[in-house]
Amino acid sequence: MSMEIIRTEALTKQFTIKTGVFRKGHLLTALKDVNISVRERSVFALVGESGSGKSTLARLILRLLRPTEGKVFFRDRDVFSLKGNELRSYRRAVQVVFQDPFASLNPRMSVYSIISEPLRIHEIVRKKEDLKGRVVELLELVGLKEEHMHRYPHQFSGGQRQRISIARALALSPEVIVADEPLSSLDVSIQAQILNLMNELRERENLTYIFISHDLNVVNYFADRVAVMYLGRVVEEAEAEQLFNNPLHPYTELLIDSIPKLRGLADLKSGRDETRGRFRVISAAQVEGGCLFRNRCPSAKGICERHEPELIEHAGRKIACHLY
Amino acid sequence: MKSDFWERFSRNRLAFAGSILVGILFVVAILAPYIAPYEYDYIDRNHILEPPSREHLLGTDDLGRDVLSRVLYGARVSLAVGFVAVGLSTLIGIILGAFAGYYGGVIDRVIMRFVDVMLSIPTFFLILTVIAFVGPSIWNIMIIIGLTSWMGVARLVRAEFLSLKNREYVLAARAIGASDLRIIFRHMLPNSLAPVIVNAVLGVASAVLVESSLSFLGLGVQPPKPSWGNILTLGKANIEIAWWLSLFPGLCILITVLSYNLLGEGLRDALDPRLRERR
Repeated sequence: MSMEIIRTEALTKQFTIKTGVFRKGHLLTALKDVNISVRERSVFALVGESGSGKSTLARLILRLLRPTEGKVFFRDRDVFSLKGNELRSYRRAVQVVFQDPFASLNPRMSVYSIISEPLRIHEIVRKKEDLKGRVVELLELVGLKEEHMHRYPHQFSGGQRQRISIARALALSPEVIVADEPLSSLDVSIQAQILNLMNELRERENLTYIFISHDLNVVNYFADRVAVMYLGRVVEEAEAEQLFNNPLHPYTELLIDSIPKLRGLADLKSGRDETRGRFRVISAAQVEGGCLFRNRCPSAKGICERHEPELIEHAGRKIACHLY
Repeated sequence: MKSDFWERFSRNRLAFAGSILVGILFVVAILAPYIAPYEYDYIDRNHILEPPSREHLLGTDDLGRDVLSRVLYGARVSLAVGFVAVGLSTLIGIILGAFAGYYGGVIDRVIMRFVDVMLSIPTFFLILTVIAFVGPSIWNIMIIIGLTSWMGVARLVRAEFLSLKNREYVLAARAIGASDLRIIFRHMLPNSLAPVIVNAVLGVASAVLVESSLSFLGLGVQPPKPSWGNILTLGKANIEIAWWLSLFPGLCILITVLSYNLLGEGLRDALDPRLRERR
């Protein structure tokens, strides 16, 4: 068992939604009581549909947002109490790759400026020639060339831009990379390339990934441990193999059922699709009290109306469901 | 992106004409001492209030001074006022707007309420009052115009910053540990400059107008230094006998303001094609 590197404790984030000038805004709970623990050098995946709080969790871990309640720990140090040099070293240790490579690179900065910026801010490389050498090294590490250095982001394809984002993240030799859907805006063939690159870098740079995705095929291939999120709660957390072979939570089951597979044409024609009713997307505001998944759950019982299930240990994994 | 800009800009004939006129104004202002036929304060008592002739292309005023020379020197005043006043107002507007948009919360509310207060004061009368206290001089005018015309820029920059604040490249910059000032000036400001530039060019036009008005009222550039505004004052006194004294400086003001406006609107259309469709 390797060491824990990141842990969250009862992490809760609420946003105030303003509806009008004179009306008081109402609260949206984006994340509620999330406890996760990420092992060193593992790939921890967060899965769930849009609005399930995955990105909010990522931004809290990155300290880009402040939690309403709860804490984030990096090697047992409270991330939100860090200041000055400690905060700087946390920034160095935890880096990010975003979903949209068209939005995550400053359009007015050259690739050289983008990749060298973290090195300059943290004064890792002081001399100009060394800086250039390090940028070239990073470009080569992610499969780009020296000649790309003086171009601007709009001159690259989506896959190349994502490589630039990765190079920027790697510049500080981080321990953890938070990847917020790094593949979902790329073509399928490019996705495989970027995924392989991330996999290689994991070995070479001893990285830990917090990997957000809604593509379960990718998660199955890449992740060591998976947390399934639904409307801001973690509903099931388990080793990837365990989770995919034997999903326990009805929502996990639904997600795995919904992975597109090549099915017999006959099945499609006959419209045999027992999961159809469960695909409705519901927002947290529409469900009051009890289990938030009950309206879509095929096994909902009376108790699900009244009590929200807690995340409990069950057979070596964690699950929040009254069935267990 | 750049070539797109030039293509759109050069296709717009009015904007192109505007930029040429602005260019001519620049050349004239810089070369005034070399191209003016007389000194602006050369008094010739034998040629008082003469209509345009070969010796005095635009005629002479009530002290026998050459109107052409005075108008050429007046261009320097307009240019200087335009640029210094707008430079100052743009600088103030960018800084206040950037801080309001970036930090939000209390800072935003304080700055924006200050903007509202400034906008509720009739600027021209404020300027008149202040000039009455500090005394008329070209530097005072430039600074006061600058200090009373930054509100539009602040609002523009704030709006841009609000929309840029949650862009992923800004978040990524925070994640690599960039300081607030670095994020504001290096990542966000360069991406919000287009509307600011347009606003600045249009601002030059109104600064020129304000300066002319002040000089016309005798609270601006003081004679014998020429400015289009104070030449007009003389023109008013002699309008029944010397039309040329009013017409030429008036035309200069008109053409200058018009060409800055054409240039500014052309820039707006070229920098942001979406705005054109909305008009």
